[in-house]
Amino acid sequence: MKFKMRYSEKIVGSFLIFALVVITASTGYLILHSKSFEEKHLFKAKFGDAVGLSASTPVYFKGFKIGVITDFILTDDNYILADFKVYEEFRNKIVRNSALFKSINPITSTSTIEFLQGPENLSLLPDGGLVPAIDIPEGEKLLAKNMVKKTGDPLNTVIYNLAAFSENINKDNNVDKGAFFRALVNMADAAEGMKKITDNLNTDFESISAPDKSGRRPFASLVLNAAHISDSLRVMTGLVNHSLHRLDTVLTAYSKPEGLVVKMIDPDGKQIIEPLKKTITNLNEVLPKLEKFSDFLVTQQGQFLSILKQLVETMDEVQVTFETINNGPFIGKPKSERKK
Amino acid sequence: MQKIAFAVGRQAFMLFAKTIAVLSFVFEIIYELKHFVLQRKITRLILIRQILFTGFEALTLIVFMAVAVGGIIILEGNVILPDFGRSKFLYTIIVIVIIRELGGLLTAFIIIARSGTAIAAELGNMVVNHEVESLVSFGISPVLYLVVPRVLGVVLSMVALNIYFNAAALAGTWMMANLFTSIPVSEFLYKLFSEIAMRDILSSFVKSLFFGFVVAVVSSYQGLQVNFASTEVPQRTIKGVVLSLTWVIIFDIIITAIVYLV
Repeated sequence: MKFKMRYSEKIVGSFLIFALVVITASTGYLILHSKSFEEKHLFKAKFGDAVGLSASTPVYFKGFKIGVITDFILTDDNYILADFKVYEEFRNKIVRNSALFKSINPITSTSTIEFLQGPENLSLLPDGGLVPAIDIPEGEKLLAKNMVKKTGDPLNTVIYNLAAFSENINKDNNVDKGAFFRALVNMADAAEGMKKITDNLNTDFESISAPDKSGRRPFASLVLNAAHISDSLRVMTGLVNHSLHRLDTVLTAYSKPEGLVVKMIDPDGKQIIEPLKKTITNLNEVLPKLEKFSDFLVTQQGQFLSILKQLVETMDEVQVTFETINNGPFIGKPKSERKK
Repeated sequence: MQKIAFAVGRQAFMLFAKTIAVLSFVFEIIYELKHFVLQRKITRLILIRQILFTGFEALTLIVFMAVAVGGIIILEGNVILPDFGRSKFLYTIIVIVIIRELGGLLTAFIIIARSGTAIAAELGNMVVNHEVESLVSFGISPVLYLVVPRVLGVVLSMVALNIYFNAAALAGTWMMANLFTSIPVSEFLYKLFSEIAMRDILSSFVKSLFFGFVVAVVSSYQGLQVNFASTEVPQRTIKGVVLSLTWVIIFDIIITAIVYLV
């Protein structure tokens, strides 16, 4: 305590000066970090709405903060006109035919503005020039002409693409309106039918393993079901074939180069369309063979029936023989466990 | 009915009188600040000792608490969100919780507990022992000699401790985040300062100024309100603590509303 009293002035001075140094260094770093004194270039930005927009919303390009939105107003034609400051070091990135993409993460509700640079060979946009967002007609045109490529929050991009896909596929002027969903419904029906057949088969195979009350294995009932199953299989094969044909038609329609949906999900057609077409072609080749096999099953039904009946009889005889051996005095079980 | 009206009227009048008394006390402190600068030789020692007691001696506790709070935020965050230490939320939560709110409030609570009670009890005992009366008899203003250095000392200590608290809490968050995932200091500072706005620092500074002033004024006022009995001292001390806490929270809400909503 005496030490503290003697050097109280020095201790207090150090205590206060060190705090002052910390706060000065922090403030200085913050000022440098926020580029408050750096020269900025002012541009105008136009958005469809002000959702998620604030006076200090940062604008990013390839992950770099290149500027901020400083102010925004509602215009007479109900668009949002914003002032958009760009830092000196990123000035040369603002070229003509660039756009902005405002996305809101649906989970975190945080908004991000991504700068979508126009073709690099174009000249710089002069200070004060307009950079449209892609949610207004000017921006949509740039996107449609492939002047800019949309990036941004991944989750939001997926949702945006799905929404656009859904919207375009259901447009009244789309010749294939609803075709995709019809094909999906048919596929679902076919899958349901196949499931029923599989269930029947499973039930029958389960019953093979367990003998009935009379001690006979129910091969006969299986044989009786065989005709019905093969008929159902034939019908379902035809339905699947029909559905796949319709799906092929739809995909062919969307693989046209002018299709907006295709441009969005698979611009080159190499990732989804081509492999899908190949798969469908292979399936189409296999399906007639499957139909033939199904027909063969129906025509050979009588022979199958007789063979299976013989098999049932043979199995019964085998069962009786084994029981006899089992109850025999030399090989079988001990006397106490033998059948009476 | 008449009795109720009389009681309500009396309460309202007493509240008004108390408010006027407190405001006069505050204005007197502000007025005497000018004289304090002129006569600093007399009261300088009191100021330095006040900063030593309120600021420097509380530093260990403040730093320990700040590091613990920072670490707990990361620990709890990692329980709720996987990879919390790497996410952007880390920095947002640090700024909102520590710099904007907890830094000032927790520092104020510690100062109320340590120094607010001490000031109220010390001044109360001085009144009981007629030391304040003797100062008045010598023509020395008790506000200038006793209250102003304490107010200044608490305010300066509060501002400094708030800075230390924020720095230590940020260090604590970084240390705890490093246990889960390695983050270089430069990356941590870069991302942290990307989330801090100038108004966050300004709000933290203004809050610490007001909190320090409120704690010192309320404690000094309650200490000087003791009349003659030593049994009044603990009562006034408790009242000082309760009122300090209440006014600190009220000022916190007001300043936050002004800085972030206006």
